Amino acid sequence: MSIVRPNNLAKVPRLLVVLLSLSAHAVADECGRPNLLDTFPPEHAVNVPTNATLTAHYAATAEYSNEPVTLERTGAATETLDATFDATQGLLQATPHELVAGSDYVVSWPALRGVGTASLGSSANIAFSVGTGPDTRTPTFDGLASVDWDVSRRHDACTGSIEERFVFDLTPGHVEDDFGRDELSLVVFQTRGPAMDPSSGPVPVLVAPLPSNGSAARVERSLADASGRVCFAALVQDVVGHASTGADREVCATTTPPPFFYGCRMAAPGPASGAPSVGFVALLLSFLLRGRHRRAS
Amino acid sequence: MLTVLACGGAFACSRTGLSELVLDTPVDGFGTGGAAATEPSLDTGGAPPSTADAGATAASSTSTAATPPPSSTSTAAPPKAKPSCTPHDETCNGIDDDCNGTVDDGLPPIPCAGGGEQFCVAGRYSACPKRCETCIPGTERVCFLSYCTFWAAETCAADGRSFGTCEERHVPPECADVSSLHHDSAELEQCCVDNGYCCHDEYDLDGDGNRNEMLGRCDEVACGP
Repeated sequence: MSIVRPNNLAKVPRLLVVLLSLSAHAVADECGRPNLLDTFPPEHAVNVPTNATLTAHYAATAEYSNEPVTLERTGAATETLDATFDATQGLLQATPHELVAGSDYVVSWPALRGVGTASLGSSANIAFSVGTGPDTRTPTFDGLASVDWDVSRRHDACTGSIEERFVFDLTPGHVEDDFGRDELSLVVFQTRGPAMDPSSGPVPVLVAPLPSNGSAARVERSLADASGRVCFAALVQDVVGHASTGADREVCATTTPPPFFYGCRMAAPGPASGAPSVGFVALLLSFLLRGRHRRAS
Repeated sequence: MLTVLACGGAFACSRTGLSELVLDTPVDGFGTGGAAATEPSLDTGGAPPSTADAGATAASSTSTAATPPPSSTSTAAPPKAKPSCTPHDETCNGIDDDCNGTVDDGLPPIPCAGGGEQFCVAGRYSACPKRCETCIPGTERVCFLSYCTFWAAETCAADGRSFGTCEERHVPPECADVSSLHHDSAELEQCCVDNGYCCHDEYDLDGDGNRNEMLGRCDEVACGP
């Protein structure tokens, strides 16, 4: 156990100031930082098809200025790939001329700059192994199986305040693909909601690696977009771009927005559980009577 | 809607909506997770699809298990006669048009002009993806307060799903006179728009009834067209 001596006390506020300023600086840095979020194929993927498109998913603020995307084949030369950037989804994609079956590769995804921030985002070197041939089959998907929801309250790095969001945990149903499920991405759509424009179709709300079997993918929505009856559907895509079926199956929930008020209903459904309630009522009455007595005097 | 925690009996509590105050049944949300209902757009073999609402398990159900797909129904149930199916070309409509047992299969995605693709989802083609949902994270739009400088700003949240609170700022010189004369007003918002700021349309200057949108130069704040 450490003891703070009196002559060290003066250092504490100074240390706190330093720590707080560092913390504030870190928070400010994270606001809108165009970080690399996911890659397809993911790190250490095996059995990647020879016709795969390599994809990196960046945060919404990311902007691409022709930063090089390089691909190194173990024991061979490094090549710079022609890449295209889809700013609407933050997807940087490159299709190698030919991935050699059975070879090991490392693709280097660059750090990007972003809108409204001076901070450079994160980068990554992703190693993967190529399988025996091309992916020609479309993945099969039973659609989403279930949804759970809750409300999160989290400090926001940009606004500096607590922001509330609905969080939905969506469990995908059975998935099959000729190259396994590890390199598949899950694309989730909100199909119903209070703020949805009836004239437009389902809104894409998530692109993420397919969670492991039985796990859920998490979707966050603003309170305005998801208060009341909300439905979701999803499909999976392989690294070649084949989209599965299963998007016809919706899962729905009816949410209740905060603020929540916590109170107690005083009722006694059974004798066993009724006893504490009677005691609670008696206690409440005794306080009330005591208060009346004091006011009377 | 106000939500309360109802304590049934002694101390067993559950969150419920105000209208459900007297119920003991745990409802959406905490603990076991929220309500869940699977709404399969059932393959009816060419018959018109039931609407999702009609076919849904009640949304306030606490079940988290999915409704089993039609193919996994109990073998003990008496077999129902399948309606005849006349094959047509598959279209995105939530129906198994080609009678192959799969709804809306084999429909290619439609490329979007700005990037991404539209997919056939729940019987309709999806909207094209947008860069963000409400605003680009970390950017700001001007808003207006009823005190002091009357000029303020809202910062877009890190996930781009909402703006933060309206916080006071110094009024720029070009709108200082309008601010001191008209205070928090449509004139001040107009000055904001006219001087090239991205402004919260609190006074509905465009008359479309939407007071939560942005007006002015918002290219670097808004998610897209």
